[in-house]
Amino acid sequence: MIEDLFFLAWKGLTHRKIRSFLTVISIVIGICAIVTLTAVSKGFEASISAILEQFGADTILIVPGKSLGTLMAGFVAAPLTDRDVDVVLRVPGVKDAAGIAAKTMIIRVGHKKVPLTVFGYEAEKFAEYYGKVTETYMESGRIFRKGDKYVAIIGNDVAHKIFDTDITPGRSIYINDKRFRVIGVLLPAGNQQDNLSVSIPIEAFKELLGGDELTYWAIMAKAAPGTDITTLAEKIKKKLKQARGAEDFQVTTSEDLLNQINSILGTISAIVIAVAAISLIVGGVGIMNTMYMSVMERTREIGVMKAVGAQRWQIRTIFLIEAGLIGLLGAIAGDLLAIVLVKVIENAIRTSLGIMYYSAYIPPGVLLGAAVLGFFIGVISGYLPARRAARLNPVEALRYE
Amino acid sequence: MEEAAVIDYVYLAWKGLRHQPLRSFLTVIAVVIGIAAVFALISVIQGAKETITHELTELGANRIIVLPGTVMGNYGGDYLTDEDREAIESIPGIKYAIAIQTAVVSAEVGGEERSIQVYGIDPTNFSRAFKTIIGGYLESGRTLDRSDKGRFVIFIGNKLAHDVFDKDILPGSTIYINGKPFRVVGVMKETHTPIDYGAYIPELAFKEVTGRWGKYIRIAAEVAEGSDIESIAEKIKRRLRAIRGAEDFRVLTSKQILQRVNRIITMLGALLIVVGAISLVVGGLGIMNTMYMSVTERTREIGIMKAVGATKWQIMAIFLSEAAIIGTLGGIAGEAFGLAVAKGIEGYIQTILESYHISITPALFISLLAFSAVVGIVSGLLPAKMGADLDPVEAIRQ
Repeated sequence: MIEDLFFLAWKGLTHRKIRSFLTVISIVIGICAIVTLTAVSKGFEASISAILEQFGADTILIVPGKSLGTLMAGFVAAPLTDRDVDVVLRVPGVKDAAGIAAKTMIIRVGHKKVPLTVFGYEAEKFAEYYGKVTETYMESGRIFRKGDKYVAIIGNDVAHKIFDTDITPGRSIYINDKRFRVIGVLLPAGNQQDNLSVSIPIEAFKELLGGDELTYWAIMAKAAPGTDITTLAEKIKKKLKQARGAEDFQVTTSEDLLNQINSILGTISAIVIAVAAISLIVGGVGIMNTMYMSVMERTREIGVMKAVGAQRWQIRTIFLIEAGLIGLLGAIAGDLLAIVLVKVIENAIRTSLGIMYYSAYIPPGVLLGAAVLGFFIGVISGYLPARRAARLNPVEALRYE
Repeated sequence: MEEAAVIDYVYLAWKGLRHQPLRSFLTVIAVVIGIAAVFALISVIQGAKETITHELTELGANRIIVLPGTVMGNYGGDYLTDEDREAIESIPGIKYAIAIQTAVVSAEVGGEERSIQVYGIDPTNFSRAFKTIIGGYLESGRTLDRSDKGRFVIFIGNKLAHDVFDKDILPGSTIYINGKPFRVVGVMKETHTPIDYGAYIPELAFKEVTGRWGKYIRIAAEVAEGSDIESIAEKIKRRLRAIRGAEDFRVLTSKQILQRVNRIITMLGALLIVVGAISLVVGGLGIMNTMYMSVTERTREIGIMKAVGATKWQIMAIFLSEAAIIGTLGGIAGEAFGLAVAKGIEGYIQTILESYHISITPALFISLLAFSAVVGIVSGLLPAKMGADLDPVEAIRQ
């Protein structure tokens, strides 16, 4: 019985091929836009969480200032020092902690001098803390190892854009007139901070400071296995507040950081996707139009069916199936088109934005969800026309010319 | 057949539309939604640009800001010094410079203790700087001025006054900063920046309570009226480069800040408008569909017209007029609807940013209206051509 209704719906769809085709296309466009935008923004979320995951779920980041916002606005609080690292190290549950120092220094290659931010890391802890980050994101060379001193890992722009010659591992650069051997070059990162960075072991960094006090822009702490990270972050906060006399710092876990970034990213992508969804509404109006036409053209047919005993619900179902099919076909084609388009955009982001490790991500649920959404848009848009068809008076319908 | 007037085409097209009122209505609605979306997006985004441009040029036309560190941002290890500050002040055309230092301190009011961020400044020119180059507004009391030089007084942000502590802090009351009593002289209006939770204090008092001196996170300078701000910025750059040995600082004028902000808005705005325009493409497909139907239904009519001498172009013109009318009607209604939506968004944004206004220009109305007509005509091209190409004999036989 239901196959018959399906058959009749399909016949209706194929009766006017151009019209059905155009109606389906309009749903294709809307679904494709939504799926593509979702995949691209999910890709950004995924790359950011991949970066943060490298730091590990057991890592706690401590930065000076009341919030990350103040850091971005250029307002700076009293910096962190070795005293603070000691305080953190003494908190039970902390396996290890190290500070990252940063200061603008003069980099010279040949005769060209450029001021850049130099980061100082504890070389021994580097592999454990950031090892995965740099190995994955390394264009050439290696990361720090024990015993390294006058060596540097440089960002991609420092290697290829800033100076007149390409700087490859093995070459020398001068930092504040001190010679350093380059051991590694990072992949393009899509942000100036990383592309323009110069990282050196902390011992060398201290020497370059001369008499200046060594301060850290961040302290990273690793939790001992089996420690609850949120409780540990709270404990660190309490101890550090006692030691510093004020809560002029932020303690964040990678998860907190991820949530902060994702909430900004999420807001932007939600707005963009909402705007894209408008085209689905327009597509729905198109389905409604097509269905009204379809009902009108088949008025006599409906009259005949009713005359031979077809129930209202049967008539309604035929048209609802027809409308649902338009939506479903559109959504499936939209999904397929999106899969192709997402690849194209992914490539563009990698090459033109220079974020080499970006990959778009289509959550499987989104493809299925889009198909269901397409079907429902069809059914909802077809509801009024189907109801009109079901309510036709058989006698009048038969008389319709 | 004598030359038909435009009015004849429009009449025939209108008849075509009236023939299936429901279909025409729905087709127009589809265009309305698309045009409304694009209209609202453009006026809201353009409004944001204009508001920011206005704010920045209004208060910062004569302002130069110097920041330590390179374009990579400041990680806390970089500061400007007293030498930099003196060098900037000595440049002809600079009226005065305000150097800002900061520290987080403990603040106590009525037994409650909080940690807050304070900014230490020389109060000599502060009251003028606050209005012109910092761009703040007074809610109550007064700003800091030259008489406050050696005093323990504090000028507080809006949230600090009303939200940070349980009780409101009014001018005249006392806040203990790292144990020292400071008298509140005034409260700022909300700025939606970190200063809302912070406070300004005179630099001597800052030194006294924090022990810090001469590590400036930014220096803001006011340029004399009528002087060339870009060339003064260039001079500052040269002077500081000589003192510091390298360009490990940034010199920003309002123009540069404006360009940077505008670039971000333009990029995000363009993305939104392009995505919004997708719905117009979908609306165009709806027009195309309707026009195919219209041509199919009127096959006989077309055959008769051709038989009595109508040319291909005349047939095309009839259907293109019909498509253009759909587009234009959708455009008019869409603009009205879009205006209402934009006004709604404006009201919402104004609850956060009072000075925000959407941008509505005659050019926007006219260009979108023209665009909607073009969408109609382009969508109608293929169906109209199909109608025009019909063989009259076959068409009449249908």
